[in-house]
Amino acid sequence: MSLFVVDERFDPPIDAEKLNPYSDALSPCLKTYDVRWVSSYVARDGSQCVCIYEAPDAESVRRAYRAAAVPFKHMVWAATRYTHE
Amino acid sequence: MLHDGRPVELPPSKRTRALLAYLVATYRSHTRQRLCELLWQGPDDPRAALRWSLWKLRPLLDHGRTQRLVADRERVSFEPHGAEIDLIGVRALLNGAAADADTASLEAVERRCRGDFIDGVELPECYAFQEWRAGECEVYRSLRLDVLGTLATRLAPGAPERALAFSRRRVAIDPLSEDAHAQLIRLLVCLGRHADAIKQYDTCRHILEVELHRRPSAVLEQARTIIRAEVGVSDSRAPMPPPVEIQEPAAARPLVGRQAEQLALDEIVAAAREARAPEVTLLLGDPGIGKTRLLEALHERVRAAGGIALVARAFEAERTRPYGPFVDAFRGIALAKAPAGIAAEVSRLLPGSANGPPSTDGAPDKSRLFDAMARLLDWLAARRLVCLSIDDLHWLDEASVALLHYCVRQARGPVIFATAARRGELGDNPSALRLTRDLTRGRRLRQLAVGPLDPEAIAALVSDVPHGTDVAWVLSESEGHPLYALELARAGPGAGAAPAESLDELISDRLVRLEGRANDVLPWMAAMGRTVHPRLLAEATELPVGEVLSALAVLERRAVVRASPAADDRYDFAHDLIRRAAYRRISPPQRRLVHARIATAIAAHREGPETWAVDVARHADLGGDSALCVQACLEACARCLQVFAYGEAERLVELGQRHAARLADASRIRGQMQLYAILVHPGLKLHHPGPLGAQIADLCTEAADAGLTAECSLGFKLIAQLHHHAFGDVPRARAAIRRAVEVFDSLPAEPNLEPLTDGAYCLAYLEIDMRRTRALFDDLARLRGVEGLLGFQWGIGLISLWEGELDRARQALRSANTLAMRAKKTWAEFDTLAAIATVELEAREHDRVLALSPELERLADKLGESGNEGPFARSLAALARLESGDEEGAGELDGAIQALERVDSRYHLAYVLNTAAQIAFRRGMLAEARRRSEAAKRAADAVERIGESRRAELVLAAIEAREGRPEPARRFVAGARPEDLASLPRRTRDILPLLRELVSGHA
Repeated sequence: MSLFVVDERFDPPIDAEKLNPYSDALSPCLKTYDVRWVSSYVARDGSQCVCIYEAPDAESVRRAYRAAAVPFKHMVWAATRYTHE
Repeated sequence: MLHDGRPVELPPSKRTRALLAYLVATYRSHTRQRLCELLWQGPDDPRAALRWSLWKLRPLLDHGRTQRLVADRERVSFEPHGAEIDLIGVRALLNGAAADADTASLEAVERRCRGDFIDGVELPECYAFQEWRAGECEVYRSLRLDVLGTLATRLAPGAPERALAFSRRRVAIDPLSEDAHAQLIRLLVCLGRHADAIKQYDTCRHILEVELHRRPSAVLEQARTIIRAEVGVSDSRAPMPPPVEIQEPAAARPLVGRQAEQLALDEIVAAAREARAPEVTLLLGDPGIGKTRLLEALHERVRAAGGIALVARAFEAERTRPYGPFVDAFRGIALAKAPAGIAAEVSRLLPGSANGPPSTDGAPDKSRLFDAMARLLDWLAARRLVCLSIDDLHWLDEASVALLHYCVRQARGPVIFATAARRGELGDNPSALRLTRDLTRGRRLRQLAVGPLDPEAIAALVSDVPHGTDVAWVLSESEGHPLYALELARAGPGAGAAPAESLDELISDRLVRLEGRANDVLPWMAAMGRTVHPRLLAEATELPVGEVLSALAVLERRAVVRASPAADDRYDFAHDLIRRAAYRRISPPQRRLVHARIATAIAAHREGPETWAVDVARHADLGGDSALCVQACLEACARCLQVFAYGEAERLVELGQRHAARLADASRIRGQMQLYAILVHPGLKLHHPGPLGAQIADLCTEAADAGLTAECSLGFKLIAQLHHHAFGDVPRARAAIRRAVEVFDSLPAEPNLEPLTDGAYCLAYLEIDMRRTRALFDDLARLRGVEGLLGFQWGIGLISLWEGELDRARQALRSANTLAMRAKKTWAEFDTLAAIATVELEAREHDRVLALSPELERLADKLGESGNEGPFARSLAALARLESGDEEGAGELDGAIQALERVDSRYHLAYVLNTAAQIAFRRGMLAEARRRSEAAKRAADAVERIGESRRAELVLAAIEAREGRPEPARRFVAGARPEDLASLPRRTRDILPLLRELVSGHA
């Protein structure tokens, strides 16, 4: 399993308090394509969001998004995690 | 059955007898499968049971070189070879309607008709057999009535006495027929027996009033007019003498004889009080030999020792009533003080035993229920000696057998487990037989064979039958059989002169002498099939409770019924043989009426909240009330699922389906769909998931046609659930179908197939267990309107591509592409078009691949640069170029593969790299082929694309062989089993011939 980052843009902006409005549609599809949600970062103005996933490949993440009809702006990219430890 | 004029003893197993009857009566060959379904449906090994029965029958039928039982691996039949079969004889004699046959033939037919068709071979749990049996019974019954009626009419002018005998038989068989009564009355008048004629008229009027709530019709009134016209003519004969009134003590008879058995009972109680490891006592013997009386003696000992006896018995009619005997045994036991956890859990089985509902901590399961029941027994046993006693083990339902077994294994305190069974019939109950075998193996079964009584005991037994009994005669005729002895004694002092009749006949004769309300109540009680509360009896018969009670008092005095030892307020027959005799006296049409009324009464009354539905289902079945039967089956199934009695639920579904099929359309569809919903319950083992999916799909279409949207939606959900269970071992498949199930749960009733087809498409895309996925699509294909759904066409296309059915794949994918375009789903449009390009590549239509390329590029651009679409489209084009000999393809392929790696699309990489490796192999570039194959395997394994992973392995094996190392290829060739190959895509399987060629080249 590798880490993947997805960049979502929202126009009009979403209510940042409610996090990702698409998560209900997305979560069953994530399971189908063997993708695990790790964390999300939502811009305070609600215009964009970055989500981190674990998945077998980037294609599985894209596929899950498309199957759930959730728009994503930029490419899904594989990532390595660095922390100060 | 006779051989050389002597009776042949048939095997005691009822199923074996039923098999014999079926083979002989149907007189044709049957598949083993059919016979198993008819008589041995269930989780055990039906074929082994059939073999065993055939083995038991063979010595009875085959003699010397004459082989009557003809069986091969597939089929079984009976061939008479000179054996005289009454049924065949009757058919030959009649050869049409009775009116066309001569009188001698009719009399010959009547001589051959002895009782009902295969009387006594009832198998209530084998519905298909029962159905056949009931049909045949009806045919032969109406044939016999026809013959008797014709004979009585023809003989009336010349030989009225003989006609009278036939007419009486006709009335006995069909007591509800006014024609039959009228004919009998006319004959009695003709013979000058006016008093008997008047009595016959009164009897008929009484029957009509009690059974049908009807007044006599014109036919009967005409007959009455004839009597009136003849009044004044002297009555030449006296009416029948009044019946002998037998007064017997209502209390249980004292136990006589049985010294050895009584010692054994004392020892059992002593052992339990010393808290030795509990064992099960099994009393084995023939019907009427005294097993129940010995069980009662054990209960008396337990009570005398300060203990408690939990007493119940199993009933033949109640094999689908799960845990019935346990419910009966614990009825009336105060469980209020039992620990809360236990009481709450057992309340599932024994409603009213707890104030709160069962625990919701964790999923409910059978083991928790069983554990609570075992702990309940232990809790009771910690206070006092406990005896759990279940009579007639041979009829115990599957669920109760399992629970009993569990309780025996778990019991620690002083608990006595006692049961009794008919020797020969235990073999008809596979689960009970298994229980006794397991207990024997574990040395926890104490068998007591109950044999005949000694002469002194028999003399003591009949000593209080209140009229002069010829004891010597009883002793010699009964051969120590206590029930037979009692019946002989009850038959009266004159019986000594007559030859002894069979036990059944003796009982029947005694019942014939009953009169008035006792006679009215008797058939109802017999039809109930179990212990009865007088209130229910009153409701069913529509008689005042007071009259029912006095009728029961008469029956009790005459030792026909007795207060049930298991429940104070109920009555039971003094012996099951008496119940059987009483039931046999009811004619089939009357039986239907009686059962239908009982079903309605129980349904209205809901007596015994935990089991009423099973009872209603059974009576409604026998009473032919299909609507009530289906409803009751559904309620009973819900109860079965609640107490984890899955085997019983399955049998009830089968019964319900049989009746649902008889209902009018909307009710039928509704009933059938709800019954299917029970079958798809996760607790039930799916015996035939394939046909079930297809049946549900067909019913969905019918529901849609009938405008039953809720049923239609339920059907879709069931199909999804069915496949959800089928994919039990593949988490991703389960997730895909689970999604469909969840969406259906949240949908309103409006049918919408998309969630289901989308879930199915995911499975096809992920290439998970494609055989099951294909089954799912086969089911979906039966649903109307499914062709217009993107998910369906797309899935069919991908499966067909996987299977190598390229024409079908092309066609479906084109439809999917059009649907995606219409829905403005660009990514789906690209994917379906890319799949078409893949089909063309595999069909070696390279020009077509290249022709699709610009459109694929255009769609990829539209989707943006971040995805796999552009690189994948370029890969397909490059592969087509290379295959068609264009060397520029090589460079393009490298670039496209690198791009696919960059966007991390291992799913597509696996396919592209494998195809590239095969091209390199064909061109003899083994190093490149190896590099591509190894990369393909890594990519395929990462996304669990098993078909592509195996393809890489096979190509690598081919490379090794080509390089002089044939071992891996040889291993593949040797280990290729058909079932493994079927789980691989065609493109992978197609490599095997190459491997074989390479291996044989090395050889």
